[in-house]
Amino acid sequence: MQTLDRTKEPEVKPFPDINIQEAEHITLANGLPVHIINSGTQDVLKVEFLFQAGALKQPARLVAAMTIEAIGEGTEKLSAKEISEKLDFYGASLKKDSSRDTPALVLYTLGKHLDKTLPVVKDMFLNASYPENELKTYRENSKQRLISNEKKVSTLASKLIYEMLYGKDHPFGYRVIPEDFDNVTREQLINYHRAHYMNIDCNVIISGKVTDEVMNIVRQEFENIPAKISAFDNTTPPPQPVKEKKKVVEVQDVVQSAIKLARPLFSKKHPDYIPLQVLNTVFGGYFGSRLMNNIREDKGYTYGIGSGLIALGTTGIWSIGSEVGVEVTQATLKEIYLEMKRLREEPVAQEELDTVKSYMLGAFLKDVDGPFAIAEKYISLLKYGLDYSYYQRWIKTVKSITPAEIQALANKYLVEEDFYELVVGKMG
Amino acid sequence: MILFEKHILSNGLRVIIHEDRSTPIAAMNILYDVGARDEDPDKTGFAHLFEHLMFGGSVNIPNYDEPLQNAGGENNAFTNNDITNYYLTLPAQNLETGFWLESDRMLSLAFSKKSLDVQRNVVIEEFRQRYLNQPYGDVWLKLKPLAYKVHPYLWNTIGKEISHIENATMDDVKAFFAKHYKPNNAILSVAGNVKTDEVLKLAEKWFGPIPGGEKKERKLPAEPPQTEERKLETSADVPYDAIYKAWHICGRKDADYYTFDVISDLLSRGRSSRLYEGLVKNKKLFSEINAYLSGDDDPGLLVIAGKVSEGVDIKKAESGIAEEVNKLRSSVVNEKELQKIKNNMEASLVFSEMSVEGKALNLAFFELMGDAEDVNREAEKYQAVSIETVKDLAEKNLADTNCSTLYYHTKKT
Repeated sequence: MQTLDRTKEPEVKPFPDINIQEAEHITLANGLPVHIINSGTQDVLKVEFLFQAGALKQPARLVAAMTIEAIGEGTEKLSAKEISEKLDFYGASLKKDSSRDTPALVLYTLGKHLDKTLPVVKDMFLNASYPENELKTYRENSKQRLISNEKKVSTLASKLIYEMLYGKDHPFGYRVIPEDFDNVTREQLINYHRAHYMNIDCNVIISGKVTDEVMNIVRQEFENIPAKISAFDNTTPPPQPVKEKKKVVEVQDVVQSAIKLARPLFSKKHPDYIPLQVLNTVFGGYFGSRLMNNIREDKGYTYGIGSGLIALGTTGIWSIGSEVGVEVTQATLKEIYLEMKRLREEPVAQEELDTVKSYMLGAFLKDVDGPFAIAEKYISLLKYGLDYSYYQRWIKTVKSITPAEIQALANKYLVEEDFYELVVGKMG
Repeated sequence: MILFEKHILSNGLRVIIHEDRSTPIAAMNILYDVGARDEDPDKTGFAHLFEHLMFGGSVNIPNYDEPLQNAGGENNAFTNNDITNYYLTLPAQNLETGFWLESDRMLSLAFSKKSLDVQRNVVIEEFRQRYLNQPYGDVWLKLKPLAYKVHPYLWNTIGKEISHIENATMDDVKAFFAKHYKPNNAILSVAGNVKTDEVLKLAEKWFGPIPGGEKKERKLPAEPPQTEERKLETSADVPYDAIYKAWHICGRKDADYYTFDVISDLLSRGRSSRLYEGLVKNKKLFSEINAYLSGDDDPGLLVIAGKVSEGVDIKKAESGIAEEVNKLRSSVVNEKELQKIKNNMEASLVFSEMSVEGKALNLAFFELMGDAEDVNREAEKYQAVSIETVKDLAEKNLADTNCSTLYYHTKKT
């Protein structure tokens, strides 16, 4: 028998073509747009209702988020308890996504129970009543949760960095404070619900085993509601960043500081957005990134450090975050800036860039494993007014980008002076 | 339903393969039958620290992550009381890269000093991030030694204290590897767009030559039955009081486990559950409250954890929990309520089989628990739970004398 040479790596085969299953689109008689990903063998469904009713449209702080968060607190027909009982009995769950740009209501259900669970969701759209007694409990518990969460340095830092970049009065910049929960009135919620949810001004994305029977139920429930579908618009007012770019929020008795660095960027439509995702991956976007290699794997300053691009309406940011021992807070900041400088001054080695490319393409393949994941890929297009050509451009760019292009991008965007720097904890 | 084939190599490695042609990827899961419970009481946190060292290069391959990423792969690992589990996904045509990497680190590690020095620090920062630097983060560090007196579950996976991690030596690392990282102490599962016979050939090729070891006998001290109520008061700079109650129950393999799982769901699954409806919504004693099982192999815990509402006395909040627990112990639940929990269980099982990564882990885990085929018997086991067994086990196990309570008070600084 031939001995096995374990030092020799098995041949890596060329990447398979990535075929992403595209959504099928139909419009119900009332104009409601429905997008379908029919895939998978399990009798499961994810029905996502994606609204254009985020903070950009709200009349006062927190109204948009609270309208969706409290939509299940009761309707004219059912109490909060009855709503929960109906969904729980059929093993269904409801997720409310109160993200600032595109809030969504998501129903997870077995296909065989859709006829029982979908009407509950419809009832929330048509008849949510925001009963005062339920709102009282909701307000108190939400305040407590907010105060608890902000005792974590990392949570507090994530919120404050948006305030620094967008300004404290901007829909994407204001930090929710406990009093906000008291200040939003029932009337504001009812009016906001009436303006956006009652006429089901949304896109519906259904994924899983979408049979004819499933579509019949969807039609039966939603086709006869008078819908008012508005054109896509996520125009974001210009950010009003703070003047002082460096900020330290001292917290007593902590053993770690949260570090956040971020710079303003642009939306996914900008031609540099995709190439920047490659630069970001090299810099801090995966386990083998420069930041991880230096600050975790070489210095052992942290359990983890990472960076990422975040799209918000027609704007975006590039952000870096970590929690590090207080005694190495300064040293970590120094190393982060050093890694920026290295990417500006030295071209990334072809070998390292190739690793990043393979990693990114592999991660993309994993991202389209299963019907819900495939639907998620479509939703992230829909949220920003993009179409599938975005992913073709993405694959092409990842495959073709060169070290010289990466370096040019670093010189344009990975510039120390453009970043806002926040430490929550101690400077050490 | 997950269809699979199982083979045992001559060195004792169990190999489980599930074909799923609907995906372009393959997932590989290697479960080692070693966890924090196998540690020396003076060297705790070691199984987890060791997991970090498994990424520090193996005998023939200096760097684990880079070749995997080059092949389009991703990986991670976790350690708990019972197991250390490593998993990766790859485009299916590059599966062999996974076999090459995983078999080499099962064969032997590089045992690099630099890796040990750095990972000690990384794990200490993990200890600080998760347990020390967030409100209520140290709950388990206090609750477990209250609930357990002799069984190794009395310490946490991260370790009893930071000094145990600081003091870990290279000799400790080598001894731990020699004892636990053997093919006969591991289960390999592969799920995805693969062919069973090809995977078996790869398993023979890469893992077959690794020598097996002696069968490991696990002789852990059994936790004696608790006979009286245990209470501990603690305080820290947290915004609200909190209560944690833990009752001893059976282990994961016991038939009663399914009934306890139903009990914890009756208490807190969904917003129509008893604790939420009774104590959050109606009595407003808690701002949030949850019940869950620790899910350990050896006899584990049923835990109720609640954050007390502002202005409510902690003892009054506790009596609310007592009332709900006593209802379960003194009267049978109605069939419809039990049916709700069973329907929920059915849905969760289906949803947990949506990714090849999840399927590979489930197969390896149930094989460790006795038989991979049990992955397909979970639904019927939940269906078999009756309103009578729920009452019987609640009565038997949810007694005050079997309970440890941690009162977590605010200390405003």
